[in-house]
Amino acid sequence: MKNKGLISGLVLLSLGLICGVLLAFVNELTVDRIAAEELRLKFAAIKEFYDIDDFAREEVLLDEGSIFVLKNKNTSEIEHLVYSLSAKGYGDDVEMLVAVNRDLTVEGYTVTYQNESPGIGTKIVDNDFNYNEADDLSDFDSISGATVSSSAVRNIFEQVKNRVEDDFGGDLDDE
Amino acid sequence: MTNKENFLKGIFKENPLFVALLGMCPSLAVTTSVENAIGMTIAVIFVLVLSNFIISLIMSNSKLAELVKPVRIPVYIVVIATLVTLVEMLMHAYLISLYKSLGIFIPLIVVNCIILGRAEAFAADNKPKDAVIDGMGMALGFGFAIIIVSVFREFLGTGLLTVWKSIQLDLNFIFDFLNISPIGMFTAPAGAFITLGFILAVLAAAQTKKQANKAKGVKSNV
Repeated sequence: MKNKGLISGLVLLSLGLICGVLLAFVNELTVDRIAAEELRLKFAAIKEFYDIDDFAREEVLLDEGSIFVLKNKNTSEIEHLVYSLSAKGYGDDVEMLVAVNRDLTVEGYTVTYQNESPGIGTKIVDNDFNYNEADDLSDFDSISGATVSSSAVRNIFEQVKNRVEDDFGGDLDDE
Repeated sequence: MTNKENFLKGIFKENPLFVALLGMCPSLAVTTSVENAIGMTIAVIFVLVLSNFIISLIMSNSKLAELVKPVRIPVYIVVIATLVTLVEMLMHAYLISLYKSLGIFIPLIVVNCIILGRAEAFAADNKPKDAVIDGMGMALGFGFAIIIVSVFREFLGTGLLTVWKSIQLDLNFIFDFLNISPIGMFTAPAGAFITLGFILAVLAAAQTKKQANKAKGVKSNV
């Protein structure tokens, strides 16, 4: 048969098109649910720190993550900021939530995603890094033996430290 | 080969992990908990059964098979990659914690040797029904193997057995009784190799003993 190679290529192209259409269809079906599930997970994590139903809340998107702004329902003043940020870890990016109060005290932090080495880097989950004031990292405690994972956590805290005062000071209105 | 033999060969005689030593990378990486192993098994069953079925369907049409033959490997990859992406999207939407837990190993099913191996070695030359039975047997055999590895690793490493989400067996009382702590190394990569090595050694010893008994039986008959 003449042009057999071309016809084989066209068969492959057709199969690719069918598969592409199928994937686009399933993506369309699942995209909203995926976004809702991701948000649900984040809200579930934020509930560890604050009763979010007591606040008016909005999400500010950043290049490197997002900030959940919890405002007083009556005065619309920012009461708390919850940073959802990531930094490069050992196995993959480490994602964390860092909750900061208006007086710049750190309410808490939690790792929402990590793929660090089991038994070594995974110690960052539920570890106390001694980060109590959002603008002060001088007492930061690393985990010995998990240098890269600890650095990822410190990097996230530094991102918070570098912007938290401005964010409470009104810079978020410009984002 | 009967349907039963076709199905059972993947679980015992030609088990992809314990006999053929295929798909080692995800097997060693995701077996840190039983839940992960079950999730991986479900994903592999979906991909392997459907990929075997679709590839067998394509190749059982003689005209289409002739056209596909020169580009069969890219065709297999397109089919397998599509199925894996479907699993990934559905898992992300409906089983998000498992999706996060399995991480990179879901998309890596695309390059799992078992899937591509069965497509080329079996599905391409057999009827769709036989290919589905083969896929089911091989996927269950793979799942059976990784669940066994994960039971040892999770129990020895943490003292727990997490079957699904909050369904968790706390077996730490065994460690308390022995007055020792769980051995964290078993949840690390080195623990995966050690566990699989021990299981393979036990299986090899059992096989050798079986063959020796068989040879003894033959000799006494003579």
